[in-house]
Amino acid sequence: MSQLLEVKGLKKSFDVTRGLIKRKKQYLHAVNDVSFSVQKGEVLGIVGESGCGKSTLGNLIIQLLEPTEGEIIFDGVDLRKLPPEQLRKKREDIQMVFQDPFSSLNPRKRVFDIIAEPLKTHGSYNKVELEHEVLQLMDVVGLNRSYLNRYPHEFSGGQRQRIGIARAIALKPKLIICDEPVSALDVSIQSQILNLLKKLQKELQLTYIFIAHGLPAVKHVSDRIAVMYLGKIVELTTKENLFTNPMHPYTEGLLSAIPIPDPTARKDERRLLEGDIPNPVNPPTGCAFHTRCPYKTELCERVEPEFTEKRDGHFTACHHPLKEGKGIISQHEKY
Amino acid sequence: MNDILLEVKQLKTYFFTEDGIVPAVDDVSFNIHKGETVAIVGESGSGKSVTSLSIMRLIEEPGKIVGGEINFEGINLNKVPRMKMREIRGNRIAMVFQEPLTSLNPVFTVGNQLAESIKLHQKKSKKEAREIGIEMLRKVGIARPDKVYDQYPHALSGGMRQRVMIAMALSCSPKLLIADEPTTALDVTIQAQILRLMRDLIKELDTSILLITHDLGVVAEMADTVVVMYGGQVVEKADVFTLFKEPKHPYTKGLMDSSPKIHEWNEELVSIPGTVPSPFEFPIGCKFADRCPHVMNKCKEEIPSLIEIRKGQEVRCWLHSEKVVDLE
Amino acid sequence: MPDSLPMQNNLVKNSKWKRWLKLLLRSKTGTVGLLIVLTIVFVAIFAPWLAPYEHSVIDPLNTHKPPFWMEGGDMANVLGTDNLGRDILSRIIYGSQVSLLVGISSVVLAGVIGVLVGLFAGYFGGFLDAFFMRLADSFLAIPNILLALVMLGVFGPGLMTLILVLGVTNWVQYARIIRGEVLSIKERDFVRAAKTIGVKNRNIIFSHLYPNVISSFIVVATLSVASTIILESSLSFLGLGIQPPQVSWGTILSDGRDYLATSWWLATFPGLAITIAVLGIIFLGDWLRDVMDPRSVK
Repeated sequence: MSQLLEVKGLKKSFDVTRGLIKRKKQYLHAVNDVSFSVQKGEVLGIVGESGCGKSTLGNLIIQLLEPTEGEIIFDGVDLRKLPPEQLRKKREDIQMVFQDPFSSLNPRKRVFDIIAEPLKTHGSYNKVELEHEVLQLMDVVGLNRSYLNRYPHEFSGGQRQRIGIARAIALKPKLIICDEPVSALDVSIQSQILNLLKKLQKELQLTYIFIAHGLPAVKHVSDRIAVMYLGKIVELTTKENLFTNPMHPYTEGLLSAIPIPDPTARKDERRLLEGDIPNPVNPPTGCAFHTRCPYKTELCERVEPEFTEKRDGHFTACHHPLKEGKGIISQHEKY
Repeated sequence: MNDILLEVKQLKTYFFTEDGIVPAVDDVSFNIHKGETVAIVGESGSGKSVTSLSIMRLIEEPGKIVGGEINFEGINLNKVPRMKMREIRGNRIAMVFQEPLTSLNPVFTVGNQLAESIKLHQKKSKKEAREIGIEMLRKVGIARPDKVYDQYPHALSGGMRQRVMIAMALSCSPKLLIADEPTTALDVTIQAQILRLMRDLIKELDTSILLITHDLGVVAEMADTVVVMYGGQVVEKADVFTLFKEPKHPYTKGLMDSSPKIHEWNEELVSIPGTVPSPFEFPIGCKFADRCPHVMNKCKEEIPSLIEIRKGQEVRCWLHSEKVVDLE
Repeated sequence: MPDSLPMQNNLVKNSKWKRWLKLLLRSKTGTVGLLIVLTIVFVAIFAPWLAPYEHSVIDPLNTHKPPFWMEGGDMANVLGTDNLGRDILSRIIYGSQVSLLVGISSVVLAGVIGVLVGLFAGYFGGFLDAFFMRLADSFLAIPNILLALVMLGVFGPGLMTLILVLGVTNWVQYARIIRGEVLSIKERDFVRAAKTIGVKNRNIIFSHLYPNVISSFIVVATLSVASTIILESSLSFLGLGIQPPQVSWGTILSDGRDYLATSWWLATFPGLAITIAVLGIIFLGDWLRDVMDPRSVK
């Protein structure tokens, strides 16, 4: 496998200074020194709760937001150094599937126009070819061909998301960023869309960055998973490692907080994470997680842990990484 | 059992829209016993929220309760005069909504809003209301409640706001708490805290809960009895252990199979084909017919009735119309 | 499958007209509005054939003649005559030409400026936005009618100047409305999606933003065709608008004001014409807003 994307020391701060008189500059470090890489054909899941910066990260990679610092090396070139017109052309290689299928489709455009737009922007097709392409894309994502001339409001959320996916894969991009693609959908539809995304990834050899607020959605599609907390990646490893041997206490907390659809396994005894997610404008000193961490020591309050490889291919930023076997799936279970 | 707190009998709530009549809730019946937690599970369009709003008599035009009874502590809420209903609402029955930010008024402090309901329903003075309010905030696990009492909602996090909402709802020790997707807008770690809080509080206050949710995980954590709704109808009803062990309705099974299993490895998620039809496009027979893997001719023609297939488990499905038939 | 494309397209066009018709018939006020506007347009176009007399023919022997149903009136001058003996019906019929022309073209002019400014300022933001919005603020700080008066005073009254002046003074409201809409729509995911696809800014503005803001423009524009007709009347009333022998509803109204006590019909009928026209246009605008939303009817 070769490397498709490398993110190095990426930072994004928003100026959140308020008020006219007390002008003390305040910054929200939404993404704070994040580095990782994505291989061709891989699915990297990014998980975290609100305010962790996962969506900002996605928007930075796809260049909807301008990073404050850092490099985004995609396919060998630093996207930040590309002149605007070249960047515009490069965009056909990175596409996005959005969270809210009601806002991501222009209500005044027909399905045909929506799916055809990327093709028209980057290719030259005549009318017949264009229609042929669009119909094929509709087949691929499981949309009935007769919907070609309908408007988005005539569709349910799941079908709209299929339209959005067809638009995203139209240009056969090298990388697709899925920004919480199922969190706005009904349960029975979520699995349809997850299966579709997974099928497309296999068949078209796509690379995904799959952003979600919970582990259940990413578990199904990801190869590796990065866990974010307050603008930083706190743990990054393979899916199997994360679920069987998490190293960061926050990952452990995330795992144990997921309600299990089995009433015989009610977790009255389970340890839950205490407290709230701190305000990202004033993150805690030292390790940002120490305010909620059950294992914190005096060191954690003072010194920020470094994000390093603790075991083979298993990165974490923690002074006291957990022992093996703290996950919710036992090591002996087959996967 | 005689300790029935709420009895919903053949409830029908229809919406009379320009394009036709939508039977949002069509012949729904269930009971809630004292201290029991009943969960209504369903997806959008299943009628679960309309059911809860009907109980609260909060259905607005063009919706109307067209039939059935809602008996709460022996009174038919459907026949209660408006003034009396207002007294019951908030006092005997309280509600917690999905989005805590929109259900709190941004221009009043937390304390203001908390005290308002206490003063209104318990006839307390301002000072007493403050004390009770702060005590409630402490009960729902808010650190420094006296400080939060004087803060405005926007200064609080989502989880804190939902705690405040729960404090408000429980401040008058209602007999029934209707929680409509109370944790859907919250982060997982906060959701777990809130669910545990609700469970502890109802034990302490002896309150019954009607929990509206789409999340089977939440159901498994919280409920004693589960009502599964689809297309405005109850398709299955059982105690939580039976339901998760032996779901009988194909829709219930589909829901269970399609929710990601976080505690085991599985490659392909099973999903229910198709989408929930628009209100005007439901099949004539069983509402689930065109998405059902076991569909038979009969299903397309006639709506099955809800039948008790064993003690405590009722199913609305032709596969189970004769008690002896087993699905497998 | 591709072979069936032309037919499908035909179907779409067909059903589009059907949709409009369906929506028109559903809305009673829309129908009334459309009928009124069509009538006025028809009258304006065919004025020379419809009007019984020339609008400026003076008849000193036949002044202040009341409408036909009153004593002294007859069918020769259906709505009576004015202080110079001119036929009021003919004047109103001819007047519709100027009133409509001024109303529509100045709104179109203001609209083109305003919509363009709103789209670009809203989409690009930054300096462009700040510049145009401060400019708009300064326009707002001066009452429209005062600005129009000054400009008409400088350039001299006349039909073309009137249209230009009304157009230039009115762009601000459209610019502000459109900009506001653009600010909210450009944050929607479909605009972000277009950006990630690499659609050029110009295309994002004209193919994504424009169709989504144009309906609010139509609504405001129809309302302001109505208010422009009234503004034209006021300016003409003050003697700075249409100059005789040209005639507009405003000039007829202002001619009649001195005789309100004695010959009420001089001012009442042009006033009525303005009222009906304005109502018709407002009804029509309301209906248009519905039609332009694809969500209204399949």
